[in-house]
Amino acid sequence: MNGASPPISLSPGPLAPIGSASPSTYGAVLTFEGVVRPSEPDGAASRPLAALLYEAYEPMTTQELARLAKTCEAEFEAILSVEHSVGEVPVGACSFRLRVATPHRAAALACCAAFVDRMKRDVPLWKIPVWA
Amino acid sequence: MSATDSPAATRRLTVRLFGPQARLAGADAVTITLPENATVAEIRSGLSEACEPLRPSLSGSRIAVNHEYVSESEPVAFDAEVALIGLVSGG
Repeated sequence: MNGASPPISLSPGPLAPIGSASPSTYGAVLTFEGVVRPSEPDGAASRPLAALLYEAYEPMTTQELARLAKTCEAEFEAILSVEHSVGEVPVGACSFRLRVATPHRAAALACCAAFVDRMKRDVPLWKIPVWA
Repeated sequence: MSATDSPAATRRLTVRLFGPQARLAGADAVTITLPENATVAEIRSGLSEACEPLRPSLSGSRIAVNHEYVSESEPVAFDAEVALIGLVSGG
């Protein structure tokens, strides 16, 4: 860990694939990708999707992502980087990528779960279904 | 009419909306009339009165003032940027 802010990125459209290079010498490096599913609930039924339209409220979205990343870095002795899409992302494409590096795997898995849970509770990001 | 008889000063405040709540309201902002030094709780009540489609989601929403979450008792400055943050769903 260091005092620098974790890298946070909001990008229009789908996120580009990444290489396999490890960001550090930490013992556990975990990359979680959120991918747009082919359907979403619509009332009680499941309905086919064409895409999801992501909305952010800047600068609060980036500010809250950075705050959450710094909190998780301190809590789990981790290094994080965060990428999230804004705008339209088609089914099957990546809209969210979290990379976590920790000394051991248990902390990386716990950090990833905590970050995603808290992001869905606290970070002003919305998704609007674009039905097929 | 004396000063003590005069009606309380009011002001108009625009609250920004996003995501599903903007679709429900059919607008990306709602303007409400509030007393001077209104609190966040009064903004929430004002939104409920001004925009019926938002009512079911208001209790699960938070209010941001100048891009920070604030408590219900917080007074809101006249020139603040106010946003309704509800139903977040990133990832």
